Amino acid sequence: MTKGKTLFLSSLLLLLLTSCANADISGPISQPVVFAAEVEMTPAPKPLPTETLVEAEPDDCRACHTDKQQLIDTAKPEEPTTESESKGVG
Amino acid sequence: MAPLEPWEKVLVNGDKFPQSVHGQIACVDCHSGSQSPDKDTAHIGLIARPSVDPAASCGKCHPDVTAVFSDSLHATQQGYWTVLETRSAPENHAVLETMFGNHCASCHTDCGDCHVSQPASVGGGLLNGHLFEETPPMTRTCTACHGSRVGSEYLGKHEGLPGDVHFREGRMNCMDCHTGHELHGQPANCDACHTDSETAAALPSPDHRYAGVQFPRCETCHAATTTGQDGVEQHQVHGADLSCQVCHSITYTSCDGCHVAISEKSGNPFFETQATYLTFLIGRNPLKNYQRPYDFVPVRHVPIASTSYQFYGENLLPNFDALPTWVYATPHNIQLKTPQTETCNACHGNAALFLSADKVAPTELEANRSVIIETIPEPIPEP
Repeated sequence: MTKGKTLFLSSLLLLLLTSCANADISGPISQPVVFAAEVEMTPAPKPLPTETLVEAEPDDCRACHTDKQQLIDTAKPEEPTTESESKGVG
Repeated sequence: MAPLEPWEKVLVNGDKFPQSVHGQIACVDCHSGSQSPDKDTAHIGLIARPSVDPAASCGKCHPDVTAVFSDSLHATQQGYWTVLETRSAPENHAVLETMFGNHCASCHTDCGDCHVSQPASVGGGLLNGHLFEETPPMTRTCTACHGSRVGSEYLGKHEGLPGDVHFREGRMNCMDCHTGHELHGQPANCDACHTDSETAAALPSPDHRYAGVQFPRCETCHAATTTGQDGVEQHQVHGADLSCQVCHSITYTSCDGCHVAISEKSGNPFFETQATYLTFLIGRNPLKNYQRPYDFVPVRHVPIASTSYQFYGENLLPNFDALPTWVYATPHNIQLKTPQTETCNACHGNAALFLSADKVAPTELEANRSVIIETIPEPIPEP
């Protein structure tokens, strides 16, 4: 009885090993299991920053100095230029 | 060019300037003053020309340039002081400083005088709507100041005399030879080796225009000339005993006797130059050194006289004879072919081309001993 039992177990082990040896390992490697907890840890893409519309402060300097007519209107009357008294080349 | 109207001098290009790099800076950051629709209020504390203090304005972003610019000849005008101090005496310096402030200091140039506006000495006014010009326009900046001699020669403004071949044929402007490094006080691109601004700033400051390394130099582009590979016999015969200009420049301007004074009528400073004339004269090289080894160079008479500053006092130049009045010159009217290049005897034996004692004013003979040629080169027997 003991001898038959041992023979039965040995045959079963041999069958299992033979099955494993024939297994096809050329197929794709299965993807690692991804746990739900890990998925949740991946930060969700943040929304792209949109341009903040800041109302430009009024720039009086540029407003005047880009306005030809305003410059003409506000120009101080020119002092009469005295003709140079220099003679000859400098 | 015609003088600018007052409004034209300060009109900012409203389309392009705000888009430029400098247009990102608030006006008051450089010009002070304040934001106000009222002109008088806005202009309280206004700094019209911020670059009069380069380190505090342009230097905030360009410290490498302003660190050395303060020692450049454009900023210091040290060339004037080198000759004034040599010809003068220490006890006269205070008076000469007053004279200098009245008549010479307006030629000082800072960043904005070339890159933003016309130089103040020619009336100022924005060059191009406050856009910053990396390469200043030649005739509105460089020759606006350097006009009576260099500008007129280079551009061919003397009747019957062609402009410089580099301008006529190559349309080269000043900056094609005189780089920003040189004009900013870094002759010969010193910072190529001395890479940090601190080291570059520690280099000796130039005390006149021909100080230190010769730059620009013709050989930079015309290398074959100096290596004897251009097949021109005269280049091999003369080697470095003649400066390039001896053979390749033509008649240029000399001036005599500039005198300065303050007008009794208007209270304004003025000058009077006694004579301006065209010459071409070869003299001995008064600045002969490793950088400028030539025996002979063209010499130009500068408008100095022993009495130039007598309005401010008697005998202010007691050492007048310490420097020649005929000085080392580099005329900017280079030509491939000149009267000198026609034959050997165009120069050899031709006394008219040489600064001999008879061509020097008797009162200036002593001052010019170092440049006067005593023996004219003998004629060469031609085949």
